[in-house]
Amino acid sequence: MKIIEKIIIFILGIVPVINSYARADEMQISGFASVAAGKVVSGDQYLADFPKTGFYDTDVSFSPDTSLGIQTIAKVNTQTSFIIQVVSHGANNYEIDLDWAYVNFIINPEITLQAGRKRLPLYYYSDHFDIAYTYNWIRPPSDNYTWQITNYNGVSLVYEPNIGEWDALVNIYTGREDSQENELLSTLFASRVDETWKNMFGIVFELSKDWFDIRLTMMQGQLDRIIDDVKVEENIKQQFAGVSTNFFYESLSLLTEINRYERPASDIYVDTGMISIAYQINDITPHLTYSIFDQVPNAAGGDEEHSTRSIGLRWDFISNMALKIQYDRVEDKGQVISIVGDANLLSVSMDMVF
Amino acid sequence: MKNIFDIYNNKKIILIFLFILNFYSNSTYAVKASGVLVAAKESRIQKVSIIEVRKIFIGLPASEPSGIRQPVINHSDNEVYQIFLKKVLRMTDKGYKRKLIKRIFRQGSEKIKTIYKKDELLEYLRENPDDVSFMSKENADNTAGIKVIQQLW
Repeated sequence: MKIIEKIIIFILGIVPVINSYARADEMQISGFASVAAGKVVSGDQYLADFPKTGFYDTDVSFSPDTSLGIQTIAKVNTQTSFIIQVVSHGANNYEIDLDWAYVNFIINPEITLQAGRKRLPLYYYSDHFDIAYTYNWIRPPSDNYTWQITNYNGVSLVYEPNIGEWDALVNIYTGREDSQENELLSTLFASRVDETWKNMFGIVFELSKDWFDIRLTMMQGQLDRIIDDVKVEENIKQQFAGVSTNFFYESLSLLTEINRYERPASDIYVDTGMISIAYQINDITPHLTYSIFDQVPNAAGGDEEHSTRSIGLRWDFISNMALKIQYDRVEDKGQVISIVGDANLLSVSMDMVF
Repeated sequence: MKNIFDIYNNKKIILIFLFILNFYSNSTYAVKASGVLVAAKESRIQKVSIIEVRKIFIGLPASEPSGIRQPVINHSDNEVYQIFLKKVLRMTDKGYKRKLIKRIFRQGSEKIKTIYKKDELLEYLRENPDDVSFMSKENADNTAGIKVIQQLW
């Protein structure tokens, strides 16, 4: 109940107060919230959220997928605005984090320059990962979203032209992120791990129209890693590439995503992917999903491999709110690197945007 | 022979009746089905391209020469809203909502105002002459205080 109380207090208390002081044409408040609960019905644990290490166990838990975020856009002038997004995640004990803080400068109606702190746009759902209302699942398929660095500080250029009947987007970005006591790595290594991703340079290309969209993503950079104050990796080159395609035909949608992560100096090569099919019947959308994480076995014993089959239902019961129920079955096939073993999870959530 | 002739004549009459009915129904539909971009009568907004209209309604900034400050989604007539989605935005209601939400949180786009009552929309446009919305041509022709900027479909 504490969680729900916090969210209600936050929404009913803080937002209207900020709104009352904000002049509509100078400041805009938006937000999102997800209240989720789940229980492992077979097995011991289920890692629902890799970046924030949101674990479910055999007791009913509200923490792993519950999130709240408030975004404020302050307009400096017609071309410039300042954007801040503050989030609180159950998986992080409801600590307040600054996920986004950047200046947005409109060069012309198609080109925008952004500088500051943003989400790292590696995967299709990376930059709206926490806004569960925008997708059918309770969380994006876990096997596919196993990144330890989710944000970066840097510069980003966004170009959004129209190509005939297609909407296009090209996003070029560069920056770095220093993660002290990284949550995911510190949990997996059972030690303090400080991780730095630096000299990152990435490009995202999107093309979409009513029935189809495709997204290509590439990023390369360097990695430093310190475990228990000992530098174990420095200036290690890493690369990421991915392709996502989404098809929409009347009420049917088919979503796919495949990604490749490489760190040759450490002999690490990982493939991730997912496929999901959904069919909307009025306000109800049932869906089926399969996702996989597959590391090419290496001499160091790296053999992480897990896959998940999910079945779920989304109900858009009221404008801007959705109720979801989902059943996930994860198979953990890693012999040396096992995450949590096989498990089945039942979870429910209520997602909203405001 | 007489009977056959009668049937023939009746067929003709039915065909003529159906033709007239079809003509009138199509004309009525054409008026109802035409959609226009509107602004307050005193607005200085000039004619803009359909591509520009689509851009501003999916959250991209308006180009300076258009003089448009921001768009307003007219949800007072669901039929017109659905046609606007299909003909101008070329997406479903769910797809449009998803696109707007993603743009707000990914790129810090401004929220697009949605108005659910015709009277409120008219009052809003009169108070904000640099803003635009859409409605059926029939509705625009019969409403005082607004002007048609551009035919959309």
